[in-house]
Amino acid sequence: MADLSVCVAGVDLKNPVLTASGTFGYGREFAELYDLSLLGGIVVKGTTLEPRLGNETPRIAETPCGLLNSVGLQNPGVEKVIAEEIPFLRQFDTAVIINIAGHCLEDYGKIASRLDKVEGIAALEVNISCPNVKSGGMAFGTDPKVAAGITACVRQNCSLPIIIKLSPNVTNIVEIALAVEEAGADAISLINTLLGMAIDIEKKKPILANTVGGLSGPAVKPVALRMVWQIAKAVHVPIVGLGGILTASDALEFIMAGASAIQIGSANFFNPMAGPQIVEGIHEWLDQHGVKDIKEIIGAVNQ
Amino acid sequence: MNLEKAKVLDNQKILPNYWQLDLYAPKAASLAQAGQFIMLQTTPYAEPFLKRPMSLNRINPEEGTLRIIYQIVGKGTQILTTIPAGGEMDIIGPQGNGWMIQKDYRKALLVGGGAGIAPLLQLAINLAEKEIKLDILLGAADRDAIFNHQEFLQMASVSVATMDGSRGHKGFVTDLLPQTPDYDMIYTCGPNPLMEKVALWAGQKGQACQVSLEERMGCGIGTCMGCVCKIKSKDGSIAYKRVCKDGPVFDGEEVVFNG
Ligand SMILES: Cc1cc2nc3c(=O)[nH]c(=O)nc-3n(C[C@H](O)[C@H](O)[C@H](O)COP(=O)(O)OP(=O)(O)OC[C@H]3O[C@@H](n4cnc5c(N)ncnc54)[C@H](O)[C@@H]3O)c2cc1C
Ligand SMILES: Cc1cc2nc3c(=O)[nH]c(=O)nc-3n(C[C@H](O)[C@H](O)[C@H](O)COP(=O)(O)O)c2cc1C
Repeated sequence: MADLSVCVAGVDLKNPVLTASGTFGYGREFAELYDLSLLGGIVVKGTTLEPRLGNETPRIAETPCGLLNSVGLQNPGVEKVIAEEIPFLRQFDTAVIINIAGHCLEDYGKIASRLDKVEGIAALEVNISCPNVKSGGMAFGTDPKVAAGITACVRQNCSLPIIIKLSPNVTNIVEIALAVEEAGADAISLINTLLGMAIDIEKKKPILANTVGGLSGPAVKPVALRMVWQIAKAVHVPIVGLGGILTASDALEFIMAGASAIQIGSANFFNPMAGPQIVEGIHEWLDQHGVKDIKEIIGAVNQ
Repeated sequence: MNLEKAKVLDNQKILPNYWQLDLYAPKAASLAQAGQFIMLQTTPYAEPFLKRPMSLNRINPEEGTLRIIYQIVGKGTQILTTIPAGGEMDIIGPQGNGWMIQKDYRKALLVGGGAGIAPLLQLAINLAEKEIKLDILLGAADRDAIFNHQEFLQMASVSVATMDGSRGHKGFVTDLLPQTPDYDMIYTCGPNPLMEKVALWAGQKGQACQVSLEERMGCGIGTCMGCVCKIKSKDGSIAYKRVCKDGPVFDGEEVVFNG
């Protein structure tokens, strides 16, 4: 069997398959279906300093080959995550990555320093790109200076490896990637959701209570793949690719485009067994193609 | 959580806009309670992407079967009609909490509207088995949207209301709510305005009430926080609870409608 281990942001992963923030909760439901230790890692739901109620409903609108969501970061707050969720996840032999989000620069610093001392966290993933929070959210991820400022602030406030998660809702993704790399990111993950909209023509009203929401699922895959490929040529830190991955062959596309690891998001809704099946599928493909080590094909796309 | 490949035993039109789907899914059938639902995958491809939540109309653990009654609404339910007997579909479930029934109930009222009638049949059967006396109110746009009428009649007194008057009372089913109710529990499922009216009326009359809510679902298993509803706790604070996992059945008094 091929070697699937990779190293991202200084964290050794047994395989490159992680689950994406907001699509896997804290793993409890999926732990009823399979051993979470089969995964390279788990990225938990976006966590904020204080509990967040989230947006009004409807929060979900299905669209061709995907969905829009405007959950608005509903989460129980960092203290509850530390007390109840991290101890649960620590039981599994997998990298636990805490996704963090904030209203302002200070929030990011505070939550990073709070998590710094907590046992069992492999890394932080910093959401500078959530489109659902009215007070800033995406604005953080769309300005290179602000993105760099948040990265530096998290860096100063904790010694954990940090992965900066980028928004695709920008004209120049490379510029943002370079800015956060320069500011101290240990790795970059992308993409978060693409800002979108759906309308109920009978009611002449947007379907989502929040009017707009984030698009995810197979519909976004070509955009995500293009962005991973673009920044892979520009930055030196490892890249975690995601956006529309449904199968092992989708995952391999991202790896060949330059991602050292991938995340499975909305696919968890379509197929709750996607995680272990994609690990298995990558194994099979590597064996069939005589590849001994997955690292041989990271960025291997020919042009 | 149970993932299962269900086998389609039968899938047929029962009314102009309603179909009845019989599934062989022995594991799900052995676990299921009245008021729970399953997530049903309409195609093995990624379009439509999300599974459809459907209530359990009948549960037969001995034969390993489940019955769904579905209204044709859009793409997913249209595709469902094309799956023939012998076909297979992926399901997740049973999901959610189901109706709460207490042994000491003597009399219950069931109020259903449209597709919301579906989860009331298995409930009525379970209540009737416990020799709980039942009154049932069914409502729909017209007589072509009233199903299970005969089955309910075998167990209870049934009153019907249709908006066009083609069967029973002409108007809202909530027009039929009694002045002086004496029920141990009121169960309701249907469009939100119907459930809101029933819950309000029950509250005014000092009657306990359970409502089965509908929301657009992402995962249907409790992870995505997509299908939440507003729930008011005793201390007045508001929280968003998941319809798929904390519901779909809630105490009528706790639900904040229109929010
Ligand atoms: C717990 C629960 C139980 C249900 N039980 C039944 C049942 O027994 N019989 C029945 O006919 N219907 C039931 N519904 C409603 C049913 O799920 C929708 O009518 C169905 O998903 C429509 O799919 P579509 O592809 O035909 O429509 P589309 O309009 O194409 O659907 C687009 C999206 O909107 C969602 N959606 C559309 N209408 C509704 C709705 N009213 N509630 C929730 N989501 C919706 C779909 O799931 C899909 O994600 C139930 C809903 C819930 C939440
Ligand atoms: C319901 C839902 C909730 C999400 N919540 C978060 C979140 O809290 N934080 C975050 O960084 N990304 C969140 N995301 C974005 C995903 O992690 C991922 O970046 C995006 O969905 C693209 O990947 P996919 O197409 O594989 O789903 C969420 C996505 C969905 C569908």
